Amino acid sequence: MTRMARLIDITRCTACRGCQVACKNWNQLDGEIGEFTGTYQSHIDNSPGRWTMIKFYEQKKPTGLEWHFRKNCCMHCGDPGCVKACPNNALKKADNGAVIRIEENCIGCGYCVPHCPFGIPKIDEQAEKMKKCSFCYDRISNGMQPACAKTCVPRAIVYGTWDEMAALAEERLVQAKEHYPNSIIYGKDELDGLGVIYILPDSPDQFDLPVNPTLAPTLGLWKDVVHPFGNFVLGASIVATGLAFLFSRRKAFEAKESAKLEEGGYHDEQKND
Amino acid sequence: MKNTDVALICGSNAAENHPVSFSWLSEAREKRGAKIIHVDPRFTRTSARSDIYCPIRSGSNIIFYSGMINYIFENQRYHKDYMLHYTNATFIIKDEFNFDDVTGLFTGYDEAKGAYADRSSWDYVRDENGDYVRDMTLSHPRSVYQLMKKHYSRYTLEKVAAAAGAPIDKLEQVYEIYSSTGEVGKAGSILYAMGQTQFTSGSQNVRCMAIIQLLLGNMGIPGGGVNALRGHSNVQGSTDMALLFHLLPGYLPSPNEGLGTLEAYNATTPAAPAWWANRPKYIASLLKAWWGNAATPENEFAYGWLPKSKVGKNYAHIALFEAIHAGEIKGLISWGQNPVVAGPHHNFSTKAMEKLDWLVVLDPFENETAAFWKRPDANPSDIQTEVFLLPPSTFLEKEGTVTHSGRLIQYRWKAVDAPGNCKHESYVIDSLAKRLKQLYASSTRPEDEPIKALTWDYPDPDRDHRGFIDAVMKEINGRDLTTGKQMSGFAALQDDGSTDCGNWIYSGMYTETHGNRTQSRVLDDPGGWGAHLGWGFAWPANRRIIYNRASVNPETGQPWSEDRRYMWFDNATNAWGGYDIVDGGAALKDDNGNLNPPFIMMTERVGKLFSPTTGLTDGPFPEHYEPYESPTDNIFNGRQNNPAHYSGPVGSLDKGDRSQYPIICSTWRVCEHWHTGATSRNMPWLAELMPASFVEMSEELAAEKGIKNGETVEIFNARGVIKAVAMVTPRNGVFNVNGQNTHQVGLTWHFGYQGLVTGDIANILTPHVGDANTAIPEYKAFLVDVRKVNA
Repeated sequence: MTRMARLIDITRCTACRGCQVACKNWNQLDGEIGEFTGTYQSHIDNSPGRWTMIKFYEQKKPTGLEWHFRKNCCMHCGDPGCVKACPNNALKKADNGAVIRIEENCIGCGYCVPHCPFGIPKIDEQAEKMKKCSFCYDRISNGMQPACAKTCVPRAIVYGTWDEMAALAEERLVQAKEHYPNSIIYGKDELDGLGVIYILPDSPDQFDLPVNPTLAPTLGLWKDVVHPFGNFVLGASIVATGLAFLFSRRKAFEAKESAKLEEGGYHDEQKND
Repeated sequence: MKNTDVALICGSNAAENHPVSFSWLSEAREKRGAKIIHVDPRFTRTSARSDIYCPIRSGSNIIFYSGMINYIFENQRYHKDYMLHYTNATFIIKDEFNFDDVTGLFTGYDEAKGAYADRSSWDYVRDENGDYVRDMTLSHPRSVYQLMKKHYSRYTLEKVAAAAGAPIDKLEQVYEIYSSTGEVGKAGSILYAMGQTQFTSGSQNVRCMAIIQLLLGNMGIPGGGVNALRGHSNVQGSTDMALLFHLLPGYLPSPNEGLGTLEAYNATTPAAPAWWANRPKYIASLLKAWWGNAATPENEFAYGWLPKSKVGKNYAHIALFEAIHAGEIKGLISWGQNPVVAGPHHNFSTKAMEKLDWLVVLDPFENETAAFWKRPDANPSDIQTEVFLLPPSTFLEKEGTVTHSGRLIQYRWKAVDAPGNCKHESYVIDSLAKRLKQLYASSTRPEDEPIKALTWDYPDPDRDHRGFIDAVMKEINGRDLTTGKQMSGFAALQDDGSTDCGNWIYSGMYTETHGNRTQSRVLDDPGGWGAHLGWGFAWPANRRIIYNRASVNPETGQPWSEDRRYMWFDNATNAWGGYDIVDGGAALKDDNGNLNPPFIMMTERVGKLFSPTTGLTDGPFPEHYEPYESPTDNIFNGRQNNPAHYSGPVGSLDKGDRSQYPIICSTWRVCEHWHTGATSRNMPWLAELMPASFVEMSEELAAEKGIKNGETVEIFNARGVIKAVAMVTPRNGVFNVNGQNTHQVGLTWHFGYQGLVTGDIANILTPHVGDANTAIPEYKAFLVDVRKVNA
């Protein structure tokens, strides 16, 4: 199966929030009416019930005022930190590139949370589950576009194979640079390529994105070495304890037997056992 | 719009409120390198995605556009041949016509009436044969060209920048880039919405755009046009079907008591060769649609049964609420509306409603209008109004057509059933008609005849909703009554009672050959201009670009530029070819070798730079006047406000002065909420996007007042006080207007006291005055002050 991706060209986005609503609609997530946040932004961040949202950035630049809108959602990384961090196999990288949750395995432990460079996984404390964008796995597995891409009127969100989106990104970059000379592509090389490739009008840090997203070096260590080693050690400990018990029982028995033979009161001790 | 080279968005927030329109501009930018210009008091999401943003203070539209007209003349940016042959630039105007910049008046003003009672001087000179007199050299001092040049010479770049509070370099950049579309082969498109129309000079604001597009040769070509982005999904349909007091379906004038007979009505028909000369066929066919066999040549097709308005009386929204206040109107049906939130001067208008005996509201939610009797500060025990709330089905739960800003009529099919006891509006209107007919069935009074005789033989919509809609559509299209067959178009309508037609401009949408063309979904687009003639039906006659004969050189009949080959005339076959339905089938030239000009609806058959007697009521040329409440004086002429604007007699007296209320305020919309929020504030997925009414203000104003972002503030003026959350943002600036630092604030008008999220009604602040021609309220510029709320 080919790896799929979304191109999110924020130089085209008009922040209509169609994607934010389409995601709620398709996934039947409840509305979460909050308070005025200070800007047009609906909430501070994603939540277990809000898998995508638009973040607003007012920027005063020497060339004039700019206002940018970034759709914030799971990047479906090529090298997903959350998958490595999960102790319970509740996350996996599907063949089509989606980083999907295995609902029954998730215990809501939150280990994935600090290991996502983008702050995406959110824990539903009540349900004890992590929630995030699924890349509309049910839709894309059936030949449909994700709900957000389908609804996007200015084609700021485009869906296709990873290679197609990477190529389209190059074309869009040329146009973006006409208005925003510092435009970059973000997501082609990072973390084995992200499942969301952004066109950003300027550096990632201006849009709450890490400039060089990396995973903790110990993360692989945990999952690939320590955890299995720990399992091994745990298993070995159990076996060793069992053996030790058996050996020590035999020794105690032998000691007792010796003591009994020395004292000669064999029958009385038997009755007291 | 995808064919444009430069798009000017002024008086619109297209990216937010008409996202699909903006996506076509985006495509023009992507495919043809088009530039998008946004001119607006606020830096909005449209500005964020435009190539150039130029701020102007609210109320300076005519200042901005007049400056552009002057720039076009001074720098000769007009498309000369287009101007010569397709506009009235060369026409000579009567000597009696004048504009006096000291008084600020055109000739013919009656101060006592507050109107231009005598517009006879606003007219062309005729020769002894009654023909227009023209000067093709454009040098005659009384030519429209010279008069215009002089009129707009006062609008210099410096004065415009000062009066509009706009940066002069940005202004010049906008003028330069936009007027570059005057070059042959280039196209410029102007998009506008309520930011142009909702002023006491709103109609003249629109005239400015028409003038500019005519000067630049942008009418009738792909990528050109004066493109109104209508303010509601089907408001185009509603105005086409004449849900406006001064019209009958198809923009026929509705008669007043002064036109007591059909003969008198038809005597006001515009003269040939204007296409409007066919009007008697359309009114006769309309009357036949409504009264069938009871409409005969002998009784003037029952013209006498048409309700007649009082001569000179206004029945627009403001007038209706003034009449309710005066006790003239005792009952109100508020159908798919929420005037308590949407109408101007809420405190005056809603208080007036307490005098109503009865109120019927049709809305899927109990909106603020239905709940007016229990609104904050109302005392329900003092209110005797009996309120009926009928729950209709919504747009996904019924079927029928919607007509959009491109005049395209598209059928929509029902997607789901409405919940509970909701009924289709077709059921409501059908029941109303049938019960009225039943009520008057045995009456012998002459005034009840119209209702008795009204034809009403549609399928029962309660049992057959689709069948009802189908039958009505067929009637709107029109039929040959001798054969019973559907008309193929309005060209065959008759004035002798042999045809009927519920709306002549829609005729052709449901024919014998093609059936219901509004249901057609053929994507083919030969030429690639986006005409898609097989998709839906555009009125009139499925024409996509009107006046498209203006896209050719009048000498050769070939497109002005091969880059824009859309329509052409073939001399060999003496016929038109092209990718659209030609606008007027006449040959390029008449038998005498004279051009058959393309603007076929006008008597002049050319575009009007000068709008004569029968045009707008407040002047043949747009002229700047300040909004009713303004922070500054008019520097362009001696008259502060539009001399002919509409004033609600009582409500307009609640007027504020700049000494008390120095801040300009405007009201506008956002993507997330819909109009009064009756639907969107009841939907969690939308309510959560914008849960609070906010007032946008500049960082400078906030600093002056000690207001912090997110703090609740009060906005107040001569008409009331409201609270909103302050949104302090650099997207709002300070305007230096005529040397004075002037602040502007603004809010949405989406909030009210009902729904999941609530807020104070912004229209508590708006004035009871409106446009000189349409009476549309001046929602976009009035005065307020802002203060912190004392804890």
